[in-house]
Amino acid sequence: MKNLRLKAARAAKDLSQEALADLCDVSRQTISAIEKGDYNPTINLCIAICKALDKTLDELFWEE
Amino acid sequence: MGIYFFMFICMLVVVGVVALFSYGVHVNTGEHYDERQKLSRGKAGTIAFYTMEVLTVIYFLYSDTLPETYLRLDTSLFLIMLLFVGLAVFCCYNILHESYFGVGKNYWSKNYYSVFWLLVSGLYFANYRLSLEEGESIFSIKNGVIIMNGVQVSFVAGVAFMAIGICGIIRLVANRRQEE
Repeated sequence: MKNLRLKAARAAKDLSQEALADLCDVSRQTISAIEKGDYNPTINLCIAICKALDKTLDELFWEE
Repeated sequence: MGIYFFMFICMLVVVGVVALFSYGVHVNTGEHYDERQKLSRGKAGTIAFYTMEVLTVIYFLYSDTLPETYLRLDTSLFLIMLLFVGLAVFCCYNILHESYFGVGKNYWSKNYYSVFWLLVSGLYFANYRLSLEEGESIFSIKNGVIIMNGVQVSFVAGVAFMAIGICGIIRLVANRRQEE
């Protein structure tokens, strides 16, 4: 399932996939795969993404 | 005994130099693989391993079950082919899944590595062509077995490196489209 909330949060911060990848110390393709729902990140990477985007885990990754 | 010992020492020296160089690059660039890339590289290794296993089983089934009148490959030629097939499968899978290069400073430009592989492939094909012109035959057959010679090794290496280069170009084009 696509993670549109992550994409929206990234766009709101005016960050490109490359910039977010640099902040989280991963490759751009990893961010792209998470947004497309092709890859489920570990909790460590989820936390790094949340910190980079100033969001909580619930806001970005919790499924209702 | 003497020549084999010398060759063994040469191999150790080459492996040592390559290991030192790789370590130096690793320390200087801080290059590492992220979690998705590590998973992907693990899968690439598994797929390459099983490809080699399946080919080995097919080779021995073919060699042992079919009558000796059938043309077959020399074991040393098969082993060389097996190594290149494994290498090509591992590299192509990693390139297509973006786990060939790690994260960090890359001295290599990702846009040019496929050109490098195609260049290496071209050198092997050139060597193949020169060997043919010098009179080496493509197939040296002895008692129904294709014996290994330099021509075949150059050809197999050329094909393997060309496959890696083409995968790189495919990935590059796909990335450009994704960025647009």
